[in-house]
Amino acid sequence: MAAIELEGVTKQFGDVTALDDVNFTVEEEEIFGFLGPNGAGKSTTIDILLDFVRPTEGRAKALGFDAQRESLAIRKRTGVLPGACQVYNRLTGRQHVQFAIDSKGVDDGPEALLARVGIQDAADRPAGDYSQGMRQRLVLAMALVGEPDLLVLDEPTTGLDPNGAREIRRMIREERDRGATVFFSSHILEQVEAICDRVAILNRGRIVAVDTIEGLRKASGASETLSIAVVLIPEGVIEAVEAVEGVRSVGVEGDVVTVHTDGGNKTAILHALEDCGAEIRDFTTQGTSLEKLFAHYTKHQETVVTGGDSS
Amino acid sequence: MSWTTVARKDFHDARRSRVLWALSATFLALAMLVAGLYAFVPAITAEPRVSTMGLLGFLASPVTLFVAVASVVACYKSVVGETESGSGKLLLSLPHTRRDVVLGKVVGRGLVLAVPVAVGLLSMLAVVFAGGVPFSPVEYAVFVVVTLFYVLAYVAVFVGVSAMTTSTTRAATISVLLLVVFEVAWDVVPLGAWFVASGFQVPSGFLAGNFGARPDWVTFLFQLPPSGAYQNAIGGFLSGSGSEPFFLTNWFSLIVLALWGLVSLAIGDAGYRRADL
Repeated sequence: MAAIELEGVTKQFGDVTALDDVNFTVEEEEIFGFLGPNGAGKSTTIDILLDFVRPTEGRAKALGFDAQRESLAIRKRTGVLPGACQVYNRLTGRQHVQFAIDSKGVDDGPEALLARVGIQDAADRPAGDYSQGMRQRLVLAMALVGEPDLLVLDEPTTGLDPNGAREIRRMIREERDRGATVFFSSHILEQVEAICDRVAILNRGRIVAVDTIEGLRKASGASETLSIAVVLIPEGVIEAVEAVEGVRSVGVEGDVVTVHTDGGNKTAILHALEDCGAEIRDFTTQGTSLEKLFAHYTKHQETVVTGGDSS
Repeated sequence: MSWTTVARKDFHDARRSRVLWALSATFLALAMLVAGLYAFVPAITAEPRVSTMGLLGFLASPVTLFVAVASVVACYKSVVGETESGSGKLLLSLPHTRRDVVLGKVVGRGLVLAVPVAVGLLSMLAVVFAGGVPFSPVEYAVFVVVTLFYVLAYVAVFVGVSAMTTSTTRAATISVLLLVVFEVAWDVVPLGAWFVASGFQVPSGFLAGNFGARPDWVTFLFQLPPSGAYQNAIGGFLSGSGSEPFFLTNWFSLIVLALWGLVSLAIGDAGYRRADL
């Protein structure tokens, strides 16, 4: 059984087509990234899965249940972090989690869940006093109530610092390892690249690609840019790095070596530099491969890898 | 029984609102003031002797208006406010049906209003005893129960409006319009209908306040809005009913109150069920 199945889902708001014939399937126990720029229709897709809005055409299923007719059955077994959602300012963190526990009819303890997302110290403060990041953590704690079979997370790292985002990624992996399916949307490419088994790319309401990260990278021929700061630029460094397989071009500016590459050869490039006698101070991957990939798909919508048609 | 969870959440949330605390304080002050006036300023009533019945009759009118206004304040945002702020998605991510949400809101907000009304009516007893007003527990209990029923009916009306609309602005507009029609402008309706039914002639007893000359159906129209039904119910229970037709009895007024609540909820529920969050 697929965890999520969309068949020909179209949604129109008046004259605006928010989703246009969207098809994809999320398998059980995978982490599935749903990638697209703001306004692409990611939240609308999630809203249809949870019966917040109804599709104009097509069918959505989650955990084998019809999203419209059997929404309650889906939501009993699903943990949700809705996008742009607001907490109840006057209720405490503990009351929020307790409400989710009562609603799902389970006997989890609010303490443990609040501790898991790292806001146990604020458990008895009204959520209106929380920072954006703490609210996001609170809603995540509510989503984790009752060990759901499916987690639907809309932009889960919004408002979080890099540490917080890393923690969320760790929790997503833990949930997957427990046996849950995780479906999460993001416009932040590093988040998706770091943990997803598969990705769907949505642009202007249409699915332009569904594949593994590796597969997408190969299909689009996307490149990666490394910036490496060295103490001193040795002789012949450009030639040495250019000789590494997959490197497209090498530039030097001041004490920074910039390398355009097909990706996946970071270690070889760093070794080549060190072999020339360069002492590496720092390096960054500017504009990940996926970002290029992303731009490639969202700007050239007619290029379709899987799903949808290429008319 | 998912609506009980929603109701509990909503009660905890709404009771922390400062506006509602202000309303509670206002009602307490109002009940004490009215009771104090009745008990200690005999000139204010035309009655030769003070009694519980007299006091409750004296109290019914300010209570009617207070409950109507307080229900609007407490309820117009109850459902649509959550949709607008986005917390509605948090609420409906959990396994509740939209009907559970509407029912839970009615019970939650109903409690939020019922508690201060009950506290106000209880505190008023202190003035009753201090002022030496003869106390009859049965009439007092009936007054409290019917008043709480009226609270619930008006809460259902405005939660229904909130569930039916798509923005808090619209909910506020419709709620205030209903309030004005029911509480201020309603007399125009039965009188206008009577005028029209009399062939656009002013019927006898039209302006003289001669209630005996009114046809029963005109009286019924007067008692149709929630406030009219409440006052007729209170009047009937306190002074006993005469030989009026069934649709003018206190019991029938209770049914009218219930219908106001149920019909509004049905319309609100249908609107909310179709709504995009």
